[in-house]
Amino acid sequence: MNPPFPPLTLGDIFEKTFSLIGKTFFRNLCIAVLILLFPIILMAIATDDFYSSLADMKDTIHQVQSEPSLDMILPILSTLSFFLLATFVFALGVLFAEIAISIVVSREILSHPITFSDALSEMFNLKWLYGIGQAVLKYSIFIGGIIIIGIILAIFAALSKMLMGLMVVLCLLALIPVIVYIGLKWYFSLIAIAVDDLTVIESLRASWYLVEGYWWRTFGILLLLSILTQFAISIVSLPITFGSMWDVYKEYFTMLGKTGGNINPEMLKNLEKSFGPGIAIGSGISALLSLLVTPVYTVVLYYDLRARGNTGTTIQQNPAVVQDGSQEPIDLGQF
Amino acid sequence: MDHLNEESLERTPPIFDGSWERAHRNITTAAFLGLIITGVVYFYAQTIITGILFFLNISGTQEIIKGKTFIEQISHTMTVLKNPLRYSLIVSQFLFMLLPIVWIIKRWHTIHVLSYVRIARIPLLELVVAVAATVCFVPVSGSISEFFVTKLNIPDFLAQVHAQIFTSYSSQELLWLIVVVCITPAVCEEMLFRGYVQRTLERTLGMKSVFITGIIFGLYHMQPLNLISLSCLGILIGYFYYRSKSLVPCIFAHFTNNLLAVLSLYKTQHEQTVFRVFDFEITFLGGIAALLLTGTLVFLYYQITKKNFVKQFG
Repeated sequence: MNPPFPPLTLGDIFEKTFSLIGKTFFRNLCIAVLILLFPIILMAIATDDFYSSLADMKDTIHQVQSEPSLDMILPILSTLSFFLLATFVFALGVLFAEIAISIVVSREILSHPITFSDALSEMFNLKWLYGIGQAVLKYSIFIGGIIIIGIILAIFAALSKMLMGLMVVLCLLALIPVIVYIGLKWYFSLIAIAVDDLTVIESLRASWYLVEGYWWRTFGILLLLSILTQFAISIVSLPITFGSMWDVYKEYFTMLGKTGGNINPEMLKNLEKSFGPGIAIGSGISALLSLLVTPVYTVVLYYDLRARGNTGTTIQQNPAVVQDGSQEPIDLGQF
Repeated sequence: MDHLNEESLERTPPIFDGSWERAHRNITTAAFLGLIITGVVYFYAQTIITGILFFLNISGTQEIIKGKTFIEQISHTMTVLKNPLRYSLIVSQFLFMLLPIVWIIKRWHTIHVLSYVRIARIPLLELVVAVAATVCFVPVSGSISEFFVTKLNIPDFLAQVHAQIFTSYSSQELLWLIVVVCITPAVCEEMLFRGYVQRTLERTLGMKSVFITGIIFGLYHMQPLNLISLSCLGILIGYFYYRSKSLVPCIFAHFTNNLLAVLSLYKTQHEQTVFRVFDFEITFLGGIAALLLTGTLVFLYYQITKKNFVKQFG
């Protein structure tokens, strides 16, 4: 299949991204809100619980004047697990929304616009599972690598402490570029699943070869786009985050006024208890805003890279997508 | 120089020969992209400059503030840091806000920068009415901000510490502050927001550009409590730009707004206010009266610009 557009310049990428954000804004917003609403509420409750139990534990320790016991730690552990569960649900929500938004954007590029509900049903038709699969595989490989390095370090530690110190520095120096290199090579795997209906392994392979020969270019453009996006998001989300933490700030300033600025840590305990929802809502809103932009430029870059490497092999797609007429088997270029 | 004068002072449309224009790219995208790029450069550069100046100046103060109360500590730190902050503001605005936007206009749109941003002559009456409307709007914006400050229970001492950067205690310091706080933002911010963003958005969005740029102006200051008042001020100044097709009334209006704030914080060595600018409690009715007066002057501005007003797209 011919790519929807020829290789793009940086200016073209910006222009396409802005134009697509405008064209798909409301559909993408519906998807992001529908998927993230529940996880954001869950996160707010979990963060609130976690901060409250943390403040309670500190209070108990202060009153009893003893070391923390198991009875004191258990409530914290239970709220911590709830918090981790909520974070996991939130991360899943972001992943699902990213797939669905990528579908909307890619169809818009291919001049076959679809509704947000169609994009959601397409996402829930196996793509969500492949999305989880590629994330699990990617992170397992990264974590596995780190564990192997940890074992090697432990062996060196057994031999000599100085040797271990040297190895830690060397490993860190080597590990960061390796993770960045591989991370970028696999950056487009989720988009490959969303757009081209590839399986887990195929998507990782597709992303790897897509970036081949364009690593630095892709790295530079992604870095630039993410800096610009984060700045724009922070400008917009600052008043929202501030508003969501209004009560916390009010309480804090009231305390400052009453004490002439000399607040002792005891007084901050109540404040700590009310931190949670504000933080969760603030980060939820930021994630939501980010979802309206990040998948858009990632899909544009994906098609740009496909246009650049369009030379050969074809990977078979899910026949359902081909029959649908919205897409044909894709020429994956150098794969 | 003659070329510059001729070109800049007349309301002649520039020739769009920059790379963005030649490629017939989307103009709205250019406005937002230019704004974000300049914003990133400005905020990162200002953070770095302030950080460096902070560390260069703060080291000596650690010993002095030991054992002092919280208020004394932040007050002293602010006294030490107010000049570095003023330097960083002036340097950042000229180097990292004005220069990038001039570069973007030259590269993307036209080499005739002054003509693009519309540095154009306007009748004196237009200028006077714009400044008068801004003066009338100051109590309105002040009371909006004050409303949020009161609702949030921000203590007076904290507000005073924050105001230290804009407070002057001698005529030399006042003059220096006028350069830093009044002239610099009036020129640099107006070039960015009205001269570039609104000018570019106006080409495709017309009157809507006034409101969009006004809200962006409020958001860009990153002061949640002043968001509404700054956005309203941005819309007011944007309206002058839209009607007059000149940046001059905007620069004067912005200058006036900041000047009133600086003058109200000009004090003697004994903390006595020299100019009592709006030094009274603004009542609800007073606020409404100021708002009505502003509205009347805006209507007057509409009337006096009617003759020369061109609904310009492009």
